[in-house]
Amino acid sequence: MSLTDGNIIEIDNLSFKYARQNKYILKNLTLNIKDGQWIALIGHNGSGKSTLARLIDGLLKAESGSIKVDGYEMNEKNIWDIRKKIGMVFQNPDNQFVGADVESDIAFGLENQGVPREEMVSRVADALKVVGMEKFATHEPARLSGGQKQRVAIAGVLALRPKIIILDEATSMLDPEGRKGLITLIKDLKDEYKFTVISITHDIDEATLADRVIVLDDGKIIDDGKPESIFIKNDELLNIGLDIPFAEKIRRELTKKGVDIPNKYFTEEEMVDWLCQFKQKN
Amino acid sequence: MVMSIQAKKLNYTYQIGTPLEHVALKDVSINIKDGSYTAIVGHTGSGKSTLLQHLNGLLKPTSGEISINGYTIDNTTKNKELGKLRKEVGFVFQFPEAQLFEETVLKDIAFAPKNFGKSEDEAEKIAREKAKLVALPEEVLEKSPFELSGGQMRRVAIAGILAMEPKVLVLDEPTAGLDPEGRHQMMEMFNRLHKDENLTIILVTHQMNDVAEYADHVIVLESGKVIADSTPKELFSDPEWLKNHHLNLPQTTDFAYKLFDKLALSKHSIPLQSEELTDEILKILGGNLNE
Repeated sequence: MSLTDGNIIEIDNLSFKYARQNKYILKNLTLNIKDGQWIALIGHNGSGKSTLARLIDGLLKAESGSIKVDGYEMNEKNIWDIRKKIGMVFQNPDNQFVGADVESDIAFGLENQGVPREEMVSRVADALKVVGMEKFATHEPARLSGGQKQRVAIAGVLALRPKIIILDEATSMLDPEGRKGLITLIKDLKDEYKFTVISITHDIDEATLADRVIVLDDGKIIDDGKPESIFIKNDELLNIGLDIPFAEKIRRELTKKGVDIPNKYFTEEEMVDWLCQFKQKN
Repeated sequence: MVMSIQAKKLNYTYQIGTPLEHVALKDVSINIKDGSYTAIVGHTGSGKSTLLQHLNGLLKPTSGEISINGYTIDNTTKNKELGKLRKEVGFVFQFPEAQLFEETVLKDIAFAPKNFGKSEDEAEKIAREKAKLVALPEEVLEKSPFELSGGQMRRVAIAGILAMEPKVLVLDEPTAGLDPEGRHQMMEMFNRLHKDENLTIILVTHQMNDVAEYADHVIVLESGKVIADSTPKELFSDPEWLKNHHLNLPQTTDFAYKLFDKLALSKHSIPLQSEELTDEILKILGGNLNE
């Protein structure tokens, strides 16, 4: 099926609130996401990020508005087809294990989709290998560490070869090395398998790697663009309880202390370069 | 009595005598001083959690001993003797809000003191005090804890732990799952408890930025062994060593080193806090600013 304007996800005028509550979690939200992009979805806790992810996966039902995933309208008839296209990884992997050992946990999703046994065995092995957990195939998930569990959860999703992977703060419980490793891994896999990534994250340095950053506040999109255009507006981000990239923080503090730095977005390397040039010029 | 935590040649082996036997701690000897802010860092599987579980007797050493504020635990210690110790050391595990259960915030915080024999009134008084300490607004005290935001729920759980009036607070990645603002406020709150209430803090973290910002003592574990036991300044003065052990520098120090390298300066200072970093940058840029 060909996609309208290459959009893998089309959300139109979407509103959601929980039963018996007056406050809308999402209000008239409209959003298109292009196939194959890496989207960082940021916003403080309670801004509606996870709700949006659950609506896209059909775990929650919208009050009004529409969601289209890969050309399929979200409704009772299409929901199972849509879910097959989406792999979700949550923050706390303890909530997503079903198998008695790591292998069978990963095989569970494949069995559900009726993947032939031979292919299943090789997909499970591949997925474990890419996340660096092949040695743990026969271990009990409960006995793994937090980081190891998360790798297994991601392997479980990768084995299903979804078109969209939604990471709901999936790296927030990993150590920095594990986090970096995982993000690099998902980036590489994305290049190979061409899936779309929606990463809900508080890790601003991870968000700077995205193709597009969407900022949610109080159920509304308040900013949307490339990382370099989002992160220069540091006051706005701080005002809604978010962090700003480290180099921006330094730029801000140096400006306050009287250093005449241009008002633009710097990466850390660019900032170091700029400071060196400044020193040599003066 | 010397108030401190001392481990002497502490060893711990899981599932001894089975094919799954696994040595988690090897000859760990450490000394955590009363009133210190100690960070424990190390990779997944390095033995951090095993060590923590010795701090209130959830685990007993396979050999060696650990003494906590005068209570010594070795492999002969009876569980009965651990009751008092468990009041000395408060534990904030990851996602402590999962343990909330009472109808109101106040009742939840008052549960522990009541359980330890305080009267209803006394327990409530303590609960109000602790709610204040963790900066919970007055109006939430009569609400159900489950109506609160994630950050506030966590504060309730922490107030409940403080209500036991521990002398040591053990924090196991206490900010997991909070947004940046919530994380910052939570870390500042622990720092205030450390300074104003003189609580000894033991923080298990992967965040070197927090180690740089708050800790005065840092212990690094690797494969069950202590591989470094020093101050953050000392630890971060050797980027080569850190790299070999797959550990990160805090962003501040990392940025300073990048700048020093580019300008061919020696690593003459180790800025930990961002204020220190920008001061150092100003020094490097020299008196050229006002021209």
